[in-house]
Amino acid sequence: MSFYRERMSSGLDIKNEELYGGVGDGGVVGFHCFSCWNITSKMSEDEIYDDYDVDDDSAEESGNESADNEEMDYEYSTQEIDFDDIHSSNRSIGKLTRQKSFEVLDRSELVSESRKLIKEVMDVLSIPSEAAVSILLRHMKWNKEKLIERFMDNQDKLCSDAGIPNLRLDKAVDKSLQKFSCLICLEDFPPSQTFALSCDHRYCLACWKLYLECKIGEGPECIYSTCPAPKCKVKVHEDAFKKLIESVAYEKYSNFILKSYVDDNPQVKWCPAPGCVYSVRCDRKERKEAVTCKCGFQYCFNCNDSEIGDHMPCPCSQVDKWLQKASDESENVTWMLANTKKCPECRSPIEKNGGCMHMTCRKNAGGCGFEFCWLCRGPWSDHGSATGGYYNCNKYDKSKAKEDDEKANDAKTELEAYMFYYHRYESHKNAMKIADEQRRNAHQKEQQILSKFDVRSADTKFLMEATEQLLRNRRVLQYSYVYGYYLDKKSNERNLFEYLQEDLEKHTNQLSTYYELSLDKLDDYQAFIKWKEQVTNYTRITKKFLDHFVEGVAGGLTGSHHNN
Amino acid sequence: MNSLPKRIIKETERLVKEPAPGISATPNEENLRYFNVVITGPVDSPFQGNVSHHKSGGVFNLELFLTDDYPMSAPKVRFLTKIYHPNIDKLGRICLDILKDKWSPALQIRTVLLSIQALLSAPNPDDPLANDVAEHWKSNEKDAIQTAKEWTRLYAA
Repeated sequence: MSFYRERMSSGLDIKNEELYGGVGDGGVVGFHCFSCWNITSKMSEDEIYDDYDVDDDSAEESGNESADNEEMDYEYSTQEIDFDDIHSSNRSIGKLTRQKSFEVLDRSELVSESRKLIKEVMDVLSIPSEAAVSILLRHMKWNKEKLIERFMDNQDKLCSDAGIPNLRLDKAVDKSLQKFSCLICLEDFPPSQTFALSCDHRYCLACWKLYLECKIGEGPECIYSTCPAPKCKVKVHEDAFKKLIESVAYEKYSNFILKSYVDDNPQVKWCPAPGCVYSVRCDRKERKEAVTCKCGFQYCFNCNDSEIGDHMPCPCSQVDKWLQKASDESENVTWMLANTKKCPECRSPIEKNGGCMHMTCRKNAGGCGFEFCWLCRGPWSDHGSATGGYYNCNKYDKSKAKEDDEKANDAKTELEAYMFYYHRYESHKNAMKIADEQRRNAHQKEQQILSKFDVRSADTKFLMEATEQLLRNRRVLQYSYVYGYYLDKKSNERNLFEYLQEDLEKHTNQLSTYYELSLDKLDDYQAFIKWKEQVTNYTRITKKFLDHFVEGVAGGLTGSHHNN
Repeated sequence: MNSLPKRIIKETERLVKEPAPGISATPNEENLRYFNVVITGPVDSPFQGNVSHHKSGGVFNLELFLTDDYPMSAPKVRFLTKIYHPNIDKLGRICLDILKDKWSPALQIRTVLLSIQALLSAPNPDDPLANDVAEHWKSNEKDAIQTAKEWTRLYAA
């Protein structure tokens, strides 16, 4: 930590200050820089240090160091940067809030985690059988504390409720038994080819196998399978499954157990990306940032939705509201309110798309045939010389029509606002939709570069980085319009937010322009290197801007109250 | 057709040889998994035939089918004769736990049919399949029983 601060207060900062000294003041009126706003974010020092993970940070630091040093070699020719890291300590805060507080788990990690939990319970309650504890834990939705509490409270009741009375597993076969008749297949067997749980409902091994495999075929509930005897509530334990069925089926069964471990655990969720096998543990209750799965998918842990993905800087509740709004009929109603008037007689909605003020509620369109004035909604028969000529109306102000019109106007403004935000949201969303195609194109371009200029494959890495950065920008922009829509129309927060949002759009477009440059325009290696530097440089600038933007918005730009 | 499991053969033999009182189940000649079932309405239930009118009545026809999964999954049973009963709907489908989630492979055709016979003696309007009938049963049991008797006379003769 101290090393980091020291380094940050070295020459690099001076250079930065030299570079951007005046820009911050001129650009963002009344606010110095993004780093300062971080102070206003609601995290206290303690909280920050709570999340501070030493191992993780040191790794990141060493990575950053080289990046920062490299940065010094670049010329910042652009004047569009309004802020950068000037105060080393503030920079650290920003960095710390970005600490990982989640963990991606693969199958084997899940297995060992769930096993560990079982072992812990076995130790605490001195139960020797893993299979028995597994049943108890599943019965209690994998809640160790609750299980221990209930067990201490009334052991017998808990065990029989869970389906493992007296914690007994199997019933050994009676040695004196000569021949056994299975009540399922109605055939006779030597006792050695039979099995019974503690309830002593004995069946042949073949019927057990068929029964359990049938249960597994029915799906995830198979982990709660009971003894096949009518109305018997004794649960079939893991060891019985293992002993009685084929290994392929048993693997399916164990997967269902893992599934219940994840599904019942509020801190662990499956990655929602299609086909992804990983799960993610996230201990923080209110996590604002996205988690990143090993499959590469970045998403909000709380929403856990492959469609929504990462919705920074929007809070989850806003995304919910927004999606609801987009899917329900309310916008149709708003449109009707804004663009139609109701026939004064039959209340059918009428849209005026041209012509004079003399309206007829057309019968052939389902109307009533009433003739009225569009302006005052009075009967047309009242109109004439008294109203300033047949096709004019001066009664407008007197009628209550004015109130209706105001309402319609409000609706129209609101609708237009919504359309504005929705349009922008949608277009960035569409850009996300072709993300895979973009990635493919980037790979193609890489190949072309490799063949055209004699460079190492490491020299084309910047292209993928730029691609990912662009995609990230688009996603943040997409949700920033949701955020913008719900921002108080007249607040300072809004002014600043829109200013920054506009900048983010600009940066994104600029990066996109650099990035999309046709290779034909690069004549030689020198030109390529120059272009590469340009893209690399701008990717980094954009990344920084974006990170600050997201952090700043989430923490509240003006430090005023933020309804997250 | 798949060869018939031993269990089905044994069950069928026993059903034919020692039928349960008031129940007969005959396998279809072309499909040994399909049974024609006849259940006589239990004594002292609205589904009992009307003895005083010298009419043999209270005879209910059902169909029973054993799926390929039998006995791991329950047989499919349905009333063919119209019946006024809160747990049996107008298509003859029966609301009975052992035919659904409480099925156990250790149950048999015989036990299923005995349970259905018991259901005729003890209608359960609190767990209805035919809502209107159940409502009738709960609001005016006497009247509902009268209707049930009437239906038995009309359709189950």
